Amino acid sequence: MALLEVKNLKIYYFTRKGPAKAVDGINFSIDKNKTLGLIGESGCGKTTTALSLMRFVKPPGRIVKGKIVFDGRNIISMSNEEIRLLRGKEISIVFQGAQNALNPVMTIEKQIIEEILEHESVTEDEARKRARNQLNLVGIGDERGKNYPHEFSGGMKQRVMIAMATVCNPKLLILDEPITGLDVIVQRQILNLINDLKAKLQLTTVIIAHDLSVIAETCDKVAVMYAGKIVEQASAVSLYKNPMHPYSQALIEAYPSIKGEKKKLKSIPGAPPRLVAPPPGCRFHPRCPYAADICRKEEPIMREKGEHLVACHLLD
Amino acid sequence: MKEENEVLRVENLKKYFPVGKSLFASIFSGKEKYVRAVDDVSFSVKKGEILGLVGESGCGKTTMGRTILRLVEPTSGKVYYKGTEVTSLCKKRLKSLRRRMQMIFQDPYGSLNPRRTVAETLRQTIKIHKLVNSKAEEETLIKKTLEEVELKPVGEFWDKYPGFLSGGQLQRVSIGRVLILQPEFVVADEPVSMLDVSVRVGVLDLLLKMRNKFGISFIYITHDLATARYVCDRIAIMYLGKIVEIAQTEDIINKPLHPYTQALISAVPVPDPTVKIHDLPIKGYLPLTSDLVSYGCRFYPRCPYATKKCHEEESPLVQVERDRYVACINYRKK
Repeated sequence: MALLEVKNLKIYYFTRKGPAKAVDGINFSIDKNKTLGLIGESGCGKTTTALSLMRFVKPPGRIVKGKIVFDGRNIISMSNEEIRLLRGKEISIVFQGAQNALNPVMTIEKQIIEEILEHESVTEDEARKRARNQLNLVGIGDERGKNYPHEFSGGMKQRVMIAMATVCNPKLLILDEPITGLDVIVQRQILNLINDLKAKLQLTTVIIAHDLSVIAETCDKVAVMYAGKIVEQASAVSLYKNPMHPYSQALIEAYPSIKGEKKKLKSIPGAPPRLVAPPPGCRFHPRCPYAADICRKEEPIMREKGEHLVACHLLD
Repeated sequence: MKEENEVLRVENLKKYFPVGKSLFASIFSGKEKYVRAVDDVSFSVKKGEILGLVGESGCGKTTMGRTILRLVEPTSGKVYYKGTEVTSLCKKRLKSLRRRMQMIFQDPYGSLNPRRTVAETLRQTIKIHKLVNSKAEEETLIKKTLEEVELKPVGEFWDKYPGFLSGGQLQRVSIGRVLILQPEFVVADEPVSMLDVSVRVGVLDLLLKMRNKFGISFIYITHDLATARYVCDRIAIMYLGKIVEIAQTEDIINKPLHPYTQALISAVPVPDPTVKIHDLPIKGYLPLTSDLVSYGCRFYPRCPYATKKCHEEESPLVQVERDRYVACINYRKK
């Protein structure tokens, strides 16, 4: 059964130039113990989607339509108190660049203890024990619990953030660009840690990234976003091997790799549209090499094609 | 090592930054502490060659790029541009040389003046270097340059302010600003790391075009081996201020020799879900550059093959094959 189901979700940012449709009618679901990757360029709405899962969207942004059903409950209609109890306990998130969100004047052990005490009625000693276990689990070592954030490198701080996010055994963990801004070798360490924890803690995870390789190495299922819409969804293996939507194909063809033969890369012409005034019809048509008349007029609907869900007229 | 068609030669280049210390410490302890950002590095770049400088943050790759262009003054060592020693030039001669040696910066959002239109930005460059004699020539030159960097139709970009352009377009403007001078050597410092995946290739292709069409030589500075593989002819791997390995791109990627290069290659994430992920061969973390000891191999504390000798002996960059240099005493012995 799906742990999380998002149905026809629409999130608009109400700007002076009119509503920017950051997320415009997306559907997806995640099964227990699985990992979903949301991939897309900056401004495609992937982070907004992630924020909405914990109802973190702030004005001028607003969830205008749709349902987010988590474990049988609709997150959008919950009371503020209900949502507060849910955050960090049942769903937790590691924000992009979260390394800098640690409290600089509190030891990291204390920060993790605080997190536990907020959500669970345990004694402080019990919480300390768990915090130390958690530090060992993410590869920091409990002896460093007495250190302050500035005494850690970027990668270590990211480990602290992951430790905090998983200490209350959340049912769903969201990671927004978990390795962006870290060094290559540290990236590898964090990616391995994520995969490790997923297995050990049986996490259900949403990973957001602009980087195809991060998604490839961590996710079971992938949703490709473009200009506020999901254009294709499939299992990771099938999506990378046989991308159907022209945008998915273009993304993969534009991405360099160090494995295998050196391949010729192709850039995608133009730039992503501005969300205040997206192009009519299929939003990708101005950059699509196969665009036909119908693409400029009618919006494609998500359809099943073999194992994939694709929104493209040309495949109908 | 001197070759006929080399454009740039760097010899024993060093750049040390003094570490700030308290007044008390500076009075009572005579010894200054330094961050050795670039420490005794030598290499050369051939005409029309793109040399990649790859390493983690803090390894000194950006400092090296800036020192070569004398945007920061070197502590010691020499840089030759086509036989002219750049490191000893006076200000005036340096300025005329700067036309030939240019730089593309990482952040296109920050490196363009937000209050100048695209045409004004290029006009400024023309004025500073006195490239043309008449207004009409100036307009033609700007038009030609914008076409060259594929900002077409030109009329659409002419009067645009940077705020209205995307990251990829901005980077094209800053490349145009370099190209207009007809340089022969360009340092490109992470030119695509702030751009979206879909526009990265376009900018990289533009660099390749500049090389193929005008024979411009590049130093391409990056932390990203995958893009380096795409554009570079040769790659130099840096670790804590030193080059540890330098070789042809495909040799570095397919059979890395230095343990650090091997670790870097195995760390790069791969866009293929069927590839099995391996554990890293190395442990530990990048030490602070100011804490370094002055003897032995710098990679020794993290190296899986380290012996006592690595700690005691310097490991200089030595040639092991044609076009291939490695700084590892264990490799030399094999």
